[in-house]
Amino acid sequence: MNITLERLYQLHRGELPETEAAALRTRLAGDADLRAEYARITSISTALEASVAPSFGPYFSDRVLRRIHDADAPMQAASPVMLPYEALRWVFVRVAFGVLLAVVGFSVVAGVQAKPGESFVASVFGLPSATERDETALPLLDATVLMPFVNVEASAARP
Amino acid sequence: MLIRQVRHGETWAYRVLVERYEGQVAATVIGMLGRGPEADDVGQETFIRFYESLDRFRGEASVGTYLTRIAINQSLKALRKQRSWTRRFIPRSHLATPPPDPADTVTALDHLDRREREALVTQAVQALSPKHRAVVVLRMLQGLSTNETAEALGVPPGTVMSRLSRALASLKGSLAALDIRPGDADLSS
Repeated sequence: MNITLERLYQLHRGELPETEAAALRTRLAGDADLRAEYARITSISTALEASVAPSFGPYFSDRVLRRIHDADAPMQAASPVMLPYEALRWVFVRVAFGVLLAVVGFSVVAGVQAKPGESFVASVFGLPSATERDETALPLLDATVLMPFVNVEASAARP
Repeated sequence: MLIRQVRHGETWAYRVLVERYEGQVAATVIGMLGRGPEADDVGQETFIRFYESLDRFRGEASVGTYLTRIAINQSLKALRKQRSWTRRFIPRSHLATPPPDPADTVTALDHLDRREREALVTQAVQALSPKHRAVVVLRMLQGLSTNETAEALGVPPGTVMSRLSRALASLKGSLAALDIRPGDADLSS
């Protein structure tokens, strides 16, 4: 029977069934060449096991974790997909906040102070207030202001 | 337990896992590629691939076996890349890296110290073809069974056996300097 090197290696590793292993051992005991072969296989196996590299070197786990972190970072940054309305809201909220800041900043720098009876916005922008009370006190369309135009039209229409 | 913690985003748990299995992955990758920055890179890639596939890991194989499979595949991929690169840029005459000639080494290395032995073994393993080297690494360095090796490499068990026999025959020639006598054989096991 031809004994393969694989078989000898399996014997060395204790992987053969007991009956097969016993038969092979008997054969080895009576065959010097086969015994030499087995010794060589054992020696190669031992030498290989001794040459195993125990690690990649210092800080290997740090290198792995850094690469994982670097790979994750751009994914996390890109992952939230912004819908159009969210983007618009994002712009408007920031613009509104910016305007508010500018107004408050301007009023502080320019030393604007609200006059008595005038709102803060009116004093900053110089706009007349347009409340209901103001309209009755000072009507925007005064009949006396429009009278000359009415008279001109009336005289032009006369033959 | 550790895997569950990693899935919950616990970074420290993955560090523990890397440190626990670094030796096993190093044995595979360095066995296949030899020491150097490329082996380090493939080792890192192995753990990154495992991290990315954690959701798919169902635990049918042990973490060690799963990592070994990734490591051997990544190493074979690196070797294929290396080979196509060297074929393109290095003249054929410079490519041959013959195994150490036993006739030269036996007399010179009668008394090998540990480092020399290791260097000789590494050189002999590196001289094997990638497919034979993979079988040697998995069977003889990692201690996987014939069936486990076959599964990891995606080949029938018979192929693993024949490749191991061939690899052993080649190593036998290359490592003749490891002064062995028939009497050294321990038949007790």
